[in-house]
Amino acid sequence: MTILEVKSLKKIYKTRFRGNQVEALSNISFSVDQGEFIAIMGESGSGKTTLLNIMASLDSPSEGSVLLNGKSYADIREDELSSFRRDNLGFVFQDFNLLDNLNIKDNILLPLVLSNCSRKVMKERLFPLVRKLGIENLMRKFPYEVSGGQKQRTAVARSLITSPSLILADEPTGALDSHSSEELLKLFSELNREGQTIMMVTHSVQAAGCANRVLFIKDGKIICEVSKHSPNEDITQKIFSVLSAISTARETS
Amino acid sequence: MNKQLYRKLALTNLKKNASMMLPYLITCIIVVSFYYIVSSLSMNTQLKTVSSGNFIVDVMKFGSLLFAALSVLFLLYTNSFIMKRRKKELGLYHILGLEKKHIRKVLTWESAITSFCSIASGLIIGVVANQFVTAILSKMIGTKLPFSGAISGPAVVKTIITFVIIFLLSFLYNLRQIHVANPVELLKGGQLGEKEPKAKGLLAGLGLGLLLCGYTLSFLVNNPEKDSNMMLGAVVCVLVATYLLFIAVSIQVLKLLQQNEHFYYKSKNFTLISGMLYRMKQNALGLSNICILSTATLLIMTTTVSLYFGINNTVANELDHDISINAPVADKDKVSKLFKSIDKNINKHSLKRKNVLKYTGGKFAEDLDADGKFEMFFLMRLKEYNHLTRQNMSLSKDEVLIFSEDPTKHSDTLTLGKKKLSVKEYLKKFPIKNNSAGIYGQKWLYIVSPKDGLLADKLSRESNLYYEFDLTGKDQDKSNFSYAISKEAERLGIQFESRSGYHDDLMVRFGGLLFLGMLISIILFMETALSIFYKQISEGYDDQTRFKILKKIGMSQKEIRNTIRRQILIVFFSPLVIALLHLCVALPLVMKLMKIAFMDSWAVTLGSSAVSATVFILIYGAVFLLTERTYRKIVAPSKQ
Repeated sequence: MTILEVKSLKKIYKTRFRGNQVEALSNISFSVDQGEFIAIMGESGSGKTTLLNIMASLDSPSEGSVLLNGKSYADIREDELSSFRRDNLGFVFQDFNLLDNLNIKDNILLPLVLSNCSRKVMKERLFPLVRKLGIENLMRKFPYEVSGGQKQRTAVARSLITSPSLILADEPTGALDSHSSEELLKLFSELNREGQTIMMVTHSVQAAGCANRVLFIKDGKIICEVSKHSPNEDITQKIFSVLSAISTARETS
Repeated sequence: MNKQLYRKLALTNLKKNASMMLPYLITCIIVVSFYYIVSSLSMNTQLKTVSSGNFIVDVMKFGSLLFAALSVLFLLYTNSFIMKRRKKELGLYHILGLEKKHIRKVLTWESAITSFCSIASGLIIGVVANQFVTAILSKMIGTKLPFSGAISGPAVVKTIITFVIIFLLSFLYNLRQIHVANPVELLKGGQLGEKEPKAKGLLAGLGLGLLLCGYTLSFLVNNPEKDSNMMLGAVVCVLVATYLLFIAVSIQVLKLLQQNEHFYYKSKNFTLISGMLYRMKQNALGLSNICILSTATLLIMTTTVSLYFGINNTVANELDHDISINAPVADKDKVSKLFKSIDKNINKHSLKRKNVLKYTGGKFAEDLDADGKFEMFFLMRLKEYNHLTRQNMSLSKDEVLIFSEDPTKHSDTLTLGKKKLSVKEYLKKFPIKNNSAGIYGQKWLYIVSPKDGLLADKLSRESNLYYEFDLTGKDQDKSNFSYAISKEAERLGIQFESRSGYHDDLMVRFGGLLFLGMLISIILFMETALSIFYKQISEGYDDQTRFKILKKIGMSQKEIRNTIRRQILIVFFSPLVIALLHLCVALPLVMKLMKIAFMDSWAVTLGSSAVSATVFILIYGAVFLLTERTYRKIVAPSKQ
């Protein structure tokens, strides 16, 4: 079943002077099926963050459309967009984006509080989740009191608490040490095995290797795609060769 | 690097930080211009020629001192705020390769430019405004001033010297900031993780206790002149309580709200309370300062306005009749000359006399109840009393009639040395009123003694003639008449008091006070508004990341806007609410204080405080709107 559909997406930025146009995304189309774990790879400036922002409904495309569960973002009213985002999408960021003035528990509960859920629902969802993520002992701590890995687990818990259809992760391992990165990726794979759809933007080959499908993006276009044929296949080698092919292409051009 | 570069850098910096610098500069300019106006008045030699002008000169001298002190406090405070915001920028220069001495040069240029601009424009505005202000002052004190507010050299020099020193101080502070900081710290600026504030139950309890204590004390003050210690105690209690209120009670309340899960885990309360907890921790001190300043401003406004508008009440309280004359009986010739002149002038100004009272008597002090303390009493002969009251009472040699202003004192005998006098009757009323007592002053006794009585020989040694009456006619005529007679009485050396003369005198005094009170209120208000503005703006930068995250997590623009509005509303208006509460509670005490100045009309005081509070709230509200807009621009810029 298709969860997310991206149809011929285009994003054009106008520079402030002279009205020069910069095409950040040109004609991007792909779709994400239920239960997929997709990684998007690309160099800085390739347009992957723009793509993620549009998929997150934080930014709107110049042309084309994004459909989540068959519903187009363009059809959602501006004032409903944030609650739509809250209920259907979960976010994990490179710099965690936890609120310093809330403890770990309140940080995780934030999306539910914003949706005005009842205390009963909050409790029912919180405890199994934090136990699964191994952060049940940190509930009363504040973000500055825990490690980077723990912060990112908190962020993952926050993204999962609304049971979203899709998790969008922007360089989730970018600020973590190798051990924590490995743990987080393991967690992502596990969540994915349980049926969670994940979409991740990353630089790291190791991270991308965990995904079932990797999209390579350059100059605002998807230029190729690598996917696993069986769940346990190691595609790291394939990713490496695609990346080196892309960089050689740049050198020769 | 050449000089021009530093100057250019300084200029671009100022332009870039315009939104930050402008409110500061405007305040500087206004403070400078007010300081100039007050100084030029205090140094004006012609002002001393106006009757009671000396009083105004003293008031203005006090004012200029106060302004200088307030300026030091506030301009330094605001400057430190701006500096904190600019640390990052200066850190960047450092990284780019400017040495500390280069940054120092840039800062020197900046300070020189801003100081020059604010002093120069402040002086220009002050000099121009001085003419209007002099006209306003003249209107307020109801007297033509013998000068028009022309430029005053000494005041200009004094203003320049004072503010050069103040700006130099803030410049030195800035240099010190550069000196102690290392570039990495500068780059980080104010962004360091902060711990959650701890609950302070004990302090909160103490704060509430002190507040209650202070309020109770203020109610208990009966006579401000006698109970000055109690009054001071009340002020200190409320002062300390205000600090504790913001430092401890606020956090305690927020913590309690946070513990109430059903309340806390609601969308509209969650971000607000968690945000407020941090705000209060950082800002408790600033908010209490703002609260205390607001209270001071409100009290100054209330007292000066009610003194000014209560002048008629004061005059009526202090003087029983339009005209009162008193002279030793021995000066008969002078008195008859004055009486002739009164008769002549009454006709000339087409006025009529009424309620005429003419009597002789004397004021004495003697220990009459053998308690070691002197009683003040007014002594009058029986014949005089019978004449005034159209009665025919008789008294034997050791008997007296007494009217007491203090109804609690009641004894049947009086002692005079070793002799005893018996009180024949305590009178219910007395035909004359002695005004030297005052509203709080000594309670007087009025004693009537027969001609051969034991007290009567005092009167044969020293007695005064009193002549009091009211006038009917036009106010202007009354005033002209009073002025003519007062000149005559002065020439003859006779004590003379008139309501219209006293009224004019008070107009000058209280008008001068009101004038200064208004200037002080404006300055205090501006500085309060300025510090709360900067406080909010710098919080805005701290909150920027917080709201960015909230937006990503799924808080809508509208919800963010609501949260911001409520947060600013609370931070902004909590000091105001507490200040208004202080004002309300202080009102009874203010009225008692007003009584010292013979003003006892509660309607005037109540009205003045209502007007002051309304004006204050209106201006405060305007500052709120401006601040909220700027804050929102920083925290949640709307989409283009």
